[in-house]
Amino acid sequence: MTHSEMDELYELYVLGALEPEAAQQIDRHLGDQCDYCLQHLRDAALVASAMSGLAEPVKPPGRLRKKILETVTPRPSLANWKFAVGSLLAACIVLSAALLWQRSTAQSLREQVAGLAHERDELRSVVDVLSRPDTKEVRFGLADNKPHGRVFVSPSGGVVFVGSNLPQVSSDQTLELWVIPATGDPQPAGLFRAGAGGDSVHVWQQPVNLAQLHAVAVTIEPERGSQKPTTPPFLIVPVA
Amino acid sequence: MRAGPLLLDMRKDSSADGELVEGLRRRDADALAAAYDRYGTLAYSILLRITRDQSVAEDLLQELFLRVWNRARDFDPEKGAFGVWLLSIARNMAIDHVRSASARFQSRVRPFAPSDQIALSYKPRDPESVLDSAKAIKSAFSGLTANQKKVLELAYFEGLSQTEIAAHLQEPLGTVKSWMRSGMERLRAVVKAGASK
Ligand SMILES: [Zn+2]
Repeated sequence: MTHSEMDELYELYVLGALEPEAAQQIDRHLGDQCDYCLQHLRDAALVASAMSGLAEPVKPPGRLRKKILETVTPRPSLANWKFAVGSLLAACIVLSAALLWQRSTAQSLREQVAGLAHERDELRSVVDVLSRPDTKEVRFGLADNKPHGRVFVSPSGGVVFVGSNLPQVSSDQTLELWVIPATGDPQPAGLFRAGAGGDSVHVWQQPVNLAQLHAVAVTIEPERGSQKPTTPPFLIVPVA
Repeated sequence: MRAGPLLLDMRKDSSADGELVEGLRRRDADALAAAYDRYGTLAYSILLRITRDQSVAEDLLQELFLRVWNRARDFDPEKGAFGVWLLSIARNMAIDHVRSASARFQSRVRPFAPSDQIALSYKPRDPESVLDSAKAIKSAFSGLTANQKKVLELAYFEGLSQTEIAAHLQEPLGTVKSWMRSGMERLRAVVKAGASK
């Protein structure tokens, strides 16, 4: 295909309306950094986006503006996470002390201490990821009645998923986090469940290639998790 | 290359976008408010038109501006056209939404339209305003034939390919291609005319 033949295809390319064969020809020019194609595509992107003018103009409800701006104004910070770890540590100490006094209930207290210690370790890894300078934060979902929360990604520390209003699953099911690269299959990134209120903090401590990361997603899987998603994700958070 | 003050003044809209993006990169909530005031209605209109569901359109509008907020640091105001980028993301999100849940999974992994990337990475030749172009296209559109309108709307709002449009309308592919070509030519011409003014 010559450039003059391509001239009338750039907008369709941008809109994703071209047949694969034609699109691949343009792809090839882009791969070769063809200046002519780059410039024409830039112009075509303007035309394509300006087609938004074809929709009948409707003003969004006024409350949306406020809601959107509220979500980006300062909120509980890292200090709160550190505080949470601090209080859990304190709780461990109190419980350990109590253990000395109430030997009769030692077993159940020991279990509680173990549970708290696990949560404390989990929170420590959360704080570890959050406090790294390379950590990227992405918020998702704003509606109260839908899953919402934040994803933190550190190339060196891993992924922290903080979610609310997550679905409850039956005892033979689990939630599974997926790391979705720009190309290739979703990678499993750990199993977790939502608490009674639908809240959960899940940590996946594996190095992440941020340049290759496209999104993280959550699916409902059989109890022991899956190597490939077996259900469509109920949540996809674009990170790229 | 930086534009002098005179030039900046001539291209008021896009220089305002430049300031807006600078603000977003500084994590300035006022810049997000300005972006919303500038593009919120246009974005909401296409979200609503594509999804045909007010509550979905509201959710997507919120997601859109969150995404703008989250991704502002990747955006280079010297390079990209901010409004073009924002509106192309809005369209992609809405079309993604209306596709089935499993198809949605796929299309997020492999974005179906490369417009995001294009808007992000190519330097505008004449940084004209997408808002002006949208107005120009709207009035030019009324002069198109019914068939030209139909195929362009199916491509833009439904995200259909030429083959899919031909199947949908039960018309020969060659005919559909020629309607699209001639219709798009008119739209391209009015945007270009606006840019050279
Ligand atoms: Zn080329």
